[in-house]
Amino acid sequence: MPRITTRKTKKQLAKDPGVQWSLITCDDTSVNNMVAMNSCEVTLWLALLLRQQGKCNIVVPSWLTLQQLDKYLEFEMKNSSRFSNLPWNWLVVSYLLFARCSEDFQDPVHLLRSKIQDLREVRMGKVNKGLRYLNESHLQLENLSLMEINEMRPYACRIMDKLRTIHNSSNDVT
Amino acid sequence: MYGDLANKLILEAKRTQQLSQAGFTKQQLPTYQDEIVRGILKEVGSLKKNVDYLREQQLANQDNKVAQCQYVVAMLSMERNKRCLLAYQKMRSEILDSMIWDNNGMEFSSSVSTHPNTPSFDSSVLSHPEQEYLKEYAQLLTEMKSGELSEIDLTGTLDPPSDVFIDVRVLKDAGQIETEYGVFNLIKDSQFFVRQSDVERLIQQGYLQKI
Amino acid sequence: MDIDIDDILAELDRDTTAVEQNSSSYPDQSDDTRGANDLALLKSAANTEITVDPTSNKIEDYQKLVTHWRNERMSPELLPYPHHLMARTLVRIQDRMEFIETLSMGYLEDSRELTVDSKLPLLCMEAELERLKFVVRSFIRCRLSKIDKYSIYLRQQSDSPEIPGFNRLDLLMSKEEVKYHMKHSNILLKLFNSSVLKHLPEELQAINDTEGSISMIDEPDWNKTVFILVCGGVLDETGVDPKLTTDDDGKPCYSVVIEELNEEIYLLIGAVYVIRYSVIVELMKDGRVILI
Repeated sequence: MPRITTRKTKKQLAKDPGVQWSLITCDDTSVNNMVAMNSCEVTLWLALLLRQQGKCNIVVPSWLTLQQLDKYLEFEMKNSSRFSNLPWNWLVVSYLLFARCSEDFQDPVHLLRSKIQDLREVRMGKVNKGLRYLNESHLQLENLSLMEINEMRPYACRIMDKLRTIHNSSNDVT
Repeated sequence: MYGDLANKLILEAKRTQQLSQAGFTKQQLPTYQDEIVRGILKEVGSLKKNVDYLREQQLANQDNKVAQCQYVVAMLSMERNKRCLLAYQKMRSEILDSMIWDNNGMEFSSSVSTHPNTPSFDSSVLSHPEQEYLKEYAQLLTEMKSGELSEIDLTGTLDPPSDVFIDVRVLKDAGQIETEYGVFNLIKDSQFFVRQSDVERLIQQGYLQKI
Repeated sequence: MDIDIDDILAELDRDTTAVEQNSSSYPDQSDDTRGANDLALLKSAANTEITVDPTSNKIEDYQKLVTHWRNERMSPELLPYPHHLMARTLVRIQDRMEFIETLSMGYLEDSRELTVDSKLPLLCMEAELERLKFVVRSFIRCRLSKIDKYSIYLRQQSDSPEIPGFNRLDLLMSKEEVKYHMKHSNILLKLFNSSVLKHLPEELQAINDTEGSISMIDEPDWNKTVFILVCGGVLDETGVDPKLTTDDDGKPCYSVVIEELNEEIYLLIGAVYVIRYSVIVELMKDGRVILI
């Protein structure tokens, strides 16, 4: 599972000399070695928390720029049956970053938002068209993100479960 | 006709389930259909007599196709009645379970009696076995919460935590609470910045609202 | 199989005592995918006397926990309880709570003006703790709901056919879960018995009735459709994955067969599939695929 990490630059983070950062679910070396105005990688929830407390800016991931999103969009338009390889959590991450650190973006956020929306719609159209390939056996999904999978899950599971039942009972008869 | 009463019970079960899914049974469950249940049990009793009689007939005359058929139908009717009765009971027990989870086990069982502050639950809608079940399950949950998993707060929220500290507004007076971050006096319409886990229960119970 | 309710109730007592007597002789339930067979560890896990080596890999543990949590939420059946992993996690949570308490006590006694800045590490640690507790809670609650759902089915599983008297549930569930399963099904059966079963003719008093048209025992749907991510990376001592093969294009993959359809499927490393659970359950249990 790809972990999304964001780099952050740190503004005057006052460190209590008595307290060492120690974390139990993720790497804490980078937070212990933070230097003002330098960037480092931390896990997403921590970046958002520090951002909320006004301790850092989040370095926006390179895929979340107008230029890059345009490239993805172009790919989506050109290939009617394939998906571009956006990050596994692109919808969630873009949603969170728009909501929690809109000042950290170089590009205008409203334009980014509408690009994300465009991407989402093109891809959803493909997913819907792809539902016809559901069968009683299996299906490979390439480059679909977790959110998109969650959206199709109820349909896909119900349909495949039904097809399987139908297939089995038709076998029983013959 | 045989099975009519069971059908009625199943419709009642369906209705209860729909109410529960729509969130109407948070504190209230429809009254236990004692009369229908007893009616069905009586029906099973008379079916049983039929079955016994038919069985004797069969032993006397192996080729009696009509008796054989009657026998099978009576057996199936009994089976069906049993299934309906159990389905009804199962559905109610599941709603009771989720009520206890939602109300944090222990606190709920005490509110069944006469706790003034917690929304009261009218236990007269339950059958006697159900009342006993409720008490025992609440007890079990209390044990689970205090055992090895006491730190986890098993009945806590199942929504992922987004913020540790949150702003809350007080919807109704809830007295004083003490936290590691000081004492808060929860007076209606006041606002506080508190640790979410400290006030989780108060939010669930509707005393506080997250802003 | 036709069990009278009294038999089930009697069986309960037997099972509870069996847990106490045999707990030291059970083979190890390994958490990780490498299949270590360490009896001592299970014993300490069961007695919660385990001490956590601070250098043991906490990050890896957390990631494993998240995978177990995900698999559990998506699989139709109750999966084996990760005894060691959970023991380590619970100790870590407890240590962390004590640590945070000590820290915040220090803050309270400190007469200096408190700024948000000096509290920042504490804030982050608390946020992290809440996240971890949430994952554990959600994981356990998910398991408890399955334990309730398959209550009677699990009871029938409790005696392994290979080794009579050997209680499988002890490996499948934590001690607390075994207790919960026993007690809950006990009071539930009591409820069924006093409101329905005991008023029925004797031959109809069984709770696990399979005589009628439909079996009354809920069993997991082994063929349920699930979404999987093929992650691979499970190596043996020689550094190779014995189950790995290659497809027609030479790409690394696992081969599975859907028997009903007489169809072989190559599951490519890194790819996502929609497929029936029964086909991939073994690959999931040894960590080669995860449910998503």
